[in-house]
Amino acid sequence: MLDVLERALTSLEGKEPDEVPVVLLVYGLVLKSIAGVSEYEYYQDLDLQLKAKLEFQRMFPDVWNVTMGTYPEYAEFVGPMPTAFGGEIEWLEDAPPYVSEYPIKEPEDVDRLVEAGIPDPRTDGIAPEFLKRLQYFLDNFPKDIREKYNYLDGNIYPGLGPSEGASLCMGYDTFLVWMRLHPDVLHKWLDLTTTWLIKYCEAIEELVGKCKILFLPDHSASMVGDKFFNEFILPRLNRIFKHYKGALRIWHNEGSVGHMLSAVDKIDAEVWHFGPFDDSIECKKKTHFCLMGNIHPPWLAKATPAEVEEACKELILNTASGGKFWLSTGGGMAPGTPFDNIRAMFKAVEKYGKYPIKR
Amino acid sequence: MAEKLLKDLIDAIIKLDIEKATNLTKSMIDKGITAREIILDGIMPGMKAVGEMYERKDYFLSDLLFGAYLSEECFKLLEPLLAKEIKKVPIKGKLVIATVKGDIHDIGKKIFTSLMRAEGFEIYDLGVDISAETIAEKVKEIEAEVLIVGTSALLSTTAPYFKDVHEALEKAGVRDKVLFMTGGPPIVTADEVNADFYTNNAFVGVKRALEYVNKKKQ
Repeated sequence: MLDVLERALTSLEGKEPDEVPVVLLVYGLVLKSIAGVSEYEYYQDLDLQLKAKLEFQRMFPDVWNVTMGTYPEYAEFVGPMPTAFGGEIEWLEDAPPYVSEYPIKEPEDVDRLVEAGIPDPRTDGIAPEFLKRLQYFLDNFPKDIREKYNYLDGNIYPGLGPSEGASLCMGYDTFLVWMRLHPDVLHKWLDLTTTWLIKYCEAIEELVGKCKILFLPDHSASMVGDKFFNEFILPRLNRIFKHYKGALRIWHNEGSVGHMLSAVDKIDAEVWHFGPFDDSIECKKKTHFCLMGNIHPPWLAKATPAEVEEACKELILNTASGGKFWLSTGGGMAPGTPFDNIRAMFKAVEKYGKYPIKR
Repeated sequence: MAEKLLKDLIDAIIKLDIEKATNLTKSMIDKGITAREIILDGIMPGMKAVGEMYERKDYFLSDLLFGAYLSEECFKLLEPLLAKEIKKVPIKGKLVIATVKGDIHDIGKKIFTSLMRAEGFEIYDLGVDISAETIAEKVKEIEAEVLIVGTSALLSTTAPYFKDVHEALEKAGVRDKVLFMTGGPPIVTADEVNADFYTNNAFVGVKRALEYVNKKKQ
């Protein structure tokens, strides 16, 4: 019998393991309930985070809580890039922090930032504080669990990717409008953010060692058609993915991109953590990715275990044959998800997810 | 001539050609065409068509948002004229719109606003990070028929704040006088937060708002 990591890696290669792997993304939104604290307290208390992550793993030893789920959390999703370029984040009592001050308001701000040069992730914005917390995790995360699940060591997760990070520095609406209004400015800005992101990945790599897994969330593809995707988004995503060729590269985007699967297929990553609004059969047929998904997270938080089992059954029967499929939610686990519903995912695997898959 | 120019404006909006759309608007103002005509027979149908293209997935969020931006630019040009003509433009209803306290995301708000404007609503956009009390005060002050409060997918836990808006509306004595809609990520039902209607689809929200004001007028 394989363990979950072996299962996932076998499936990744397009081979059928013993059963469908369950690979989830479980972090503060859910783990704060294990820790029994508000979200703000959760983010501030590193030791509490670590304990909650380990407790979740103890409860679900057959889950691979991939990269982002086992990283320290400190505005690491939205904060590093905007704060590196002079933006600000604000903390809330029971919600994730958000970017409260954009560093870019006018096109001239891009020229100013380009002239100022690339910020140093070791000294500028919240990235240095995050790197300190990552070091704490590396010093304190139990070695046996790290080795068993391939957590932390060689794992790189730099927060939101080059295009979405860039848009968080000016607001999504401005970013999308500038694609038509100021395309040259936006290209200049995206080149800068991509360069900064690679530098930040390298700063992380100094701590975790040579990259084995790159987890890169970027939802901007779901906001555009294929023309803008090819012009603005794909080149930057691939610049980073190609930088880590040879590692297992995971693109996280649960936004719908079903309208341009052939364009999305050009993303140079092995895994696509895809969302509930795209058809799993179509995604498997028309792309090269190992698919990770796509049970709708808010639905999972409210459904009964029987309903979850049924939805997972359908997904497995439609998508799992031939491997290249990791059963997961379509995005991160939603707050308030009952743990019984995660158990129901395993029940579905037990009943319907043993290879060879039988309809 | 006016008919041809208005048709060209609709066409420019559909093609998201901002230069042509703003030039046509300026040209129509110069030629003495009323703001009412330009809005009702040019911008509104143009924006409606852009919305339909988005629904058919011929256009995407970036296109819909640019359409909203473009129509706002045309509206800006018409503002001086509108100040004189405002009473002549039929208003279907008054909308108060805001993003909840603790959230600054407003893509959905911008799209919904432009679609509601295209349907003839007078818009009171309070902005982002707005307290429940401020929202309730504005609803009371302008006697709004429709209120929509939104939050973003990135801040799912701010959604319960909708309940505070409900309470503030009750406290202000206007809860039963307004259609209270919520928008944003699909994480709450209207019942859970004491709203009248929830949607994460701007078009569904516009349809519901129209049904409400039409019924109210009967």
